[in-house]
Amino acid sequence: MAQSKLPGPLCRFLGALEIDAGTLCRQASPLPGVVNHAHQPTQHRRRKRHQQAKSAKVPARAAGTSKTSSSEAAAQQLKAAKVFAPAATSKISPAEFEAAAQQLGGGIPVALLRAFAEVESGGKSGFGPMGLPVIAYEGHWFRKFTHKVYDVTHPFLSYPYVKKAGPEWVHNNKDQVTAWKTLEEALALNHDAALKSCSWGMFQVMGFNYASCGYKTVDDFVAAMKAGEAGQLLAFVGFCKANPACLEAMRKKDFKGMAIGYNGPDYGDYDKRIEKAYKKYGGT
Amino acid sequence: MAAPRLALVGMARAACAWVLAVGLPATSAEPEKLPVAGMYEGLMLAVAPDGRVTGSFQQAQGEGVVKQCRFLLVASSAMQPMSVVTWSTQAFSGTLVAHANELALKVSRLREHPGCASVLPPDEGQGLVLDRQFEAQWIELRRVQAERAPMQADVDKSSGARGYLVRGDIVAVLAVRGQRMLVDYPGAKRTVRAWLDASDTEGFVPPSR
Repeated sequence: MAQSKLPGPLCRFLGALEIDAGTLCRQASPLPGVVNHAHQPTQHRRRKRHQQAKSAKVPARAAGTSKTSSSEAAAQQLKAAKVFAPAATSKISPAEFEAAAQQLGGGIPVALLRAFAEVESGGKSGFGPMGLPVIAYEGHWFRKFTHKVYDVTHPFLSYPYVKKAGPEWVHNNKDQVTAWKTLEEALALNHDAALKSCSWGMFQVMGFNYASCGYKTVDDFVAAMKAGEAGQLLAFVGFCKANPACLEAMRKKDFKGMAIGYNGPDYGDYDKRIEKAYKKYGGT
Repeated sequence: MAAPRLALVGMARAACAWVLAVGLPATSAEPEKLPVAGMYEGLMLAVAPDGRVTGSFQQAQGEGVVKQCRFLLVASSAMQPMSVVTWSTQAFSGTLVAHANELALKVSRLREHPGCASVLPPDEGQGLVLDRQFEAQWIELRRVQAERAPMQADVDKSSGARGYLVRGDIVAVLAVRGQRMLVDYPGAKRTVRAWLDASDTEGFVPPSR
């Protein structure tokens, strides 16, 4: 029974679908041409994974595999599957902006939240081309959360902070497909640490801030990130509520205070952009 | 079976006595008295011969809209663990503990520095632990206060300026000769080493709380 598979769909995100997994996952149609040709990439991936598994000399306890029972492993698989399941990618409706402003309280106008959403996202969606939240993987935090045990075996997943967007960061976050593939690799090593080490959605809130945003677990936070842009807005609202300086600046419509409180002292023209967007949405 | 058991107890006692007599060998978890000057994952740290520690921390995160956590610190080695004050717009106090190759900065309100809640995770009891990337001979960090502070290749000003720093730049002092200071300025691409007038810079003084 130890080798048994869970019933039902167990989609993994990139290249992990096995033909005998017994799932209901959607799979891309084979490419036209010689029948066997389409199988070669899968075999190649299997070989590569096998080689990676052989070369990875991670202590079993550190990897969390030695004493993990099959039911725990299945639960982990289910948790991982949820992360990669399709997300609701809907835009924020006017009613959802209203509800978020009410949740924030203090008479903070809807126009200000709309301004934040616009400036923080740069006018882009909180979801990438694959229909999953926009993320950026920050390996220096994964390294801290996993106590450096993957430094040698996975140097592109676990590395010290040298500067913002160093070579590993650029490699991991080249585009959203790469960022999610990186997350998948990190998830296989340590689920919670991987989710906590990414920034999520249109407000780029770090996963380690899940509790500050008002969620019990990082998986709950990720579920919110996948519940449309409205879910991402609510997480941001939760984060602001936990940041008294930023909240006070929002109440006073102190744009500089908002810029410093949320983004730090080198905020550039963030205050002016927020103010401009605020006025565009009817703020006074 | 009693005799071997007694022998084991005796050996254990002897081992304990040896440990008490000579002390435990140093491990990476054992704090050192003074931290080593150098760069620690965004924290530039200088240590003066009298034990005064000055530091400048900067980490950033995000694309497009960048979130930045930046603060200065001073610490005194008069007590162990070292007491530290960090400040940006407000000052917060805590402790700084040095280990073999890392530092643990424990300041309960560290994330209240502007931008730091977005960049740094909540403390899970260890404090902010930072690994040393390289050692340096920095004895003090200072901030440029002149609008333009010319840098020279030689202690003698007549050697001509090889660029200048601007107000707010942080420099690390390596040596002092009268009113002149040999400093390192870590730029975006490389570190510049040059001589500056001491009067163009100011020491770190935390704001009164």
